[in-house]
Amino acid sequence: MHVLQLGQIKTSRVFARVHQTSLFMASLFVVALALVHNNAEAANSTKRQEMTETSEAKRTISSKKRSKGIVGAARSDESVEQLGGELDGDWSEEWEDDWGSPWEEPKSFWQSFTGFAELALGRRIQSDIYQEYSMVQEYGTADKNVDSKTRTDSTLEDVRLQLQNTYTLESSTINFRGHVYYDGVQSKWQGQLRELNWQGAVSTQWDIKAGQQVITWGTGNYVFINDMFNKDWQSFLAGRDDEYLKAPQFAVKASGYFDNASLDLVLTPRFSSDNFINGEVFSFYNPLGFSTKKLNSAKKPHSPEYAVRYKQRWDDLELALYGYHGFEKSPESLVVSPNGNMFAPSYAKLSVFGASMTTNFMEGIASIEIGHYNRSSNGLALSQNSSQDPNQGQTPSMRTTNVPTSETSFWFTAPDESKILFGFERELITNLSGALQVSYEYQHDFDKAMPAALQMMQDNYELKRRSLVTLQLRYSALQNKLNVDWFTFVSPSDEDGHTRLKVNYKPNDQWQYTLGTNYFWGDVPTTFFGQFEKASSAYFSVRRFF
Amino acid sequence: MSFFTRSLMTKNIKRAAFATFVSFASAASFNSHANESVPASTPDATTDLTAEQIIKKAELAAYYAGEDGKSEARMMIVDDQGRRQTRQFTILKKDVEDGGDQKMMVFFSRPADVSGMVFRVEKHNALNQDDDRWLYLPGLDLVKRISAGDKRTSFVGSHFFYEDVSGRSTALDSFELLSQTKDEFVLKGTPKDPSQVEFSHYDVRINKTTFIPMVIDFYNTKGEVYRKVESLNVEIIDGFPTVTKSKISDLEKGGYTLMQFRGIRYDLGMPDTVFTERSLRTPPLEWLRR
Repeated sequence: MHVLQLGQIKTSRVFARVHQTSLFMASLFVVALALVHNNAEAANSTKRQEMTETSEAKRTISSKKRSKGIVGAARSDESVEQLGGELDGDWSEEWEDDWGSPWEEPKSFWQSFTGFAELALGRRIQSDIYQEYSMVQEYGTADKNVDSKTRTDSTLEDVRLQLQNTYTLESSTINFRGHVYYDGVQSKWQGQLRELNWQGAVSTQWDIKAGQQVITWGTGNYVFINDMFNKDWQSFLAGRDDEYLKAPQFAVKASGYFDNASLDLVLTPRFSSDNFINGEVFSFYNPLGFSTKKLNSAKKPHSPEYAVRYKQRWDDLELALYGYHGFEKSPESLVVSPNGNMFAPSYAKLSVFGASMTTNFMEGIASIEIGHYNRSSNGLALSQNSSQDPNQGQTPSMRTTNVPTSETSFWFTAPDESKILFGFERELITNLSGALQVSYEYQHDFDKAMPAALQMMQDNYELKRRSLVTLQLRYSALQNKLNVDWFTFVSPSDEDGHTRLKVNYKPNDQWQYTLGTNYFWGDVPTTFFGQFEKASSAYFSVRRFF
Repeated sequence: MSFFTRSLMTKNIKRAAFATFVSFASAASFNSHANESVPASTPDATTDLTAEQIIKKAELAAYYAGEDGKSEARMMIVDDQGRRQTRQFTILKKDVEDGGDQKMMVFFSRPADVSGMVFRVEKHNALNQDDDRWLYLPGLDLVKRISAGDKRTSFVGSHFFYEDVSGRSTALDSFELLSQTKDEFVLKGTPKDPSQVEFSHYDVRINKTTFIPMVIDFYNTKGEVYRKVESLNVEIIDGFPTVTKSKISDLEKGGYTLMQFRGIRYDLGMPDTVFTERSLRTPPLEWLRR
């Protein structure tokens, strides 16, 4: 899983301090929601009662009309017209008797905003000493990087408002979706424009979607091989809705559709990174002791990212080829100046090539996906960067004042990697479905590439290969009002794992309650899930849709 | 669509309802009781039909009206305690061949949490070929393929199943004509492979004039009706009898789903390209406008 792979540089445990906040605000929010709910319920119930009282009378009328209608319908075209006229006339009346409300009619743009308000709270299951004392573990420097306002006992305290709308033009749309929230854990307001784009057909075969957007492809579930679009791993760990695992990016996507085939070209004019685990709120293994501040300030390349997918279909078999050319989505590599003045986390150039196949199999869906990762240099050793022209050559096209302009700097990047993922999903019994994924990752020329010193730093942790099995069980009941989702990762090679249990209850169209827990385990803090052991949390959220 | 046919065929009752769904039958009005008011104009000739012929005609009437079609639809899902959920969406469908394969797209507009979601089906009538189904989730920009084994999973929380939407081959069941009245044929459908379904059999009442299935009662092994599908309104639209209002009731657990259709139009001349992955990601505005 690309996810957690924060890199070969397993980053560290950094972290923060306590700051008490926003529970008060949260309480206010809950009270407000409850009031709104009660009022709405009262109004609905009054309305229903009125409906019930009048429905008998209406039904009588309706059935008279119906008798007339059916006769006409069965008999002649003439009466069809008659029927049509009748329907137009009492469309809403006809339905309101049973329905209690008319059809939702199209409204003006300004009346068409929909969305939800949400309160979400999450608590750490066990304390995280690294967060409490703002310390950088292991080989770290005593860089008090962390925002001193960050709370240590909470992992999630969001009060959120999300809105969405679509403005329809003649043959295209402008789509908007965004949210603002107060993050009580870090005591700050956050906002994210998830969509603000223009989408439409530019020819009989090509569509364009341009602007801020979320993009997804590939076959994995929580495991991404060829999907190099932005992710938000902090939200993933915190227990925010799955929607937020996919982070938006500003891009232009051109999609061509041909006979049983499609071609997607995505240009992201300026690189943007994942919202990776950087020590804020969640600590991670960080042998090099980078502070959160240092990770966040890793210079991001300004160059574009390119992604392409070609998909072909033969009956129920779908084959896709993928390509990506850009940079690591988190600063996994190191750049070092020869004089040692600079030793910084960096985004190395990265190219990914892969393929996937999906088909119906045994009443389920089976898939295979492979990918090959090629970083700017082969191996953890040393690719030279002619700093004369940092935008050329094998290194990220970044310009940083830290890079000595008259010297040669060295890059430490991970070796080439190959990844393969098998997936199978099907319904086990009615309303219970299961999904199994098996993945394997292998680093080429690892022994040769990995400097002995760095190998030692990894505490004998086997970085060369990693196996991962995931199992997901989803259960749905009460007309989908109750949904239970249990997703577990187990890595046989690393002897660690992660389990996510989420129970979601949506009693009506307006309210949704979610209860969940994210639990990590591992014998040592140097493995991917093991490093997040102190990040285990339980959370609760309530949403009011409108 | 065919409502019936497919639905009936479906492993479970819920599916049956679907026919209605697909066929977006329209509404004109008659409910099952209204049938009685249908003029006794049934041609005697129909009585010569065999059960298989009747079910085939019903399948065509319920699922294959027009070469293509469009309808707005809404569902009200009511549980045993009277709690309601609603869904509103637009359906586009196109027949590959009458009585054979079909393509369908369902664009959801309400409630807020499913707005923008799109469901795509390629129904294959051959017994040995599973339907292909996809779901587009706009929040993630995710096109998710849905496994064929999920046929009996609730369709967006309703009492309808996914397979109700795409239908079930009439070839999976055998039929016999139980009786007929002035207005209706009463057929009994029995699954050829009982291990694949939850019902032991079902009775379906088919209107002799329109060949629209009006009521389907599904029986469990105890001989009790545990699920009922009703066409509450049928209208002639563009010359096709169309169910415009239907209901599926869970008589065992309580609760029901009401479905209504409006804005139904047939034979719009929609091209095949409307029924591809392209429309999952870029809604075909031209065909979704009223």
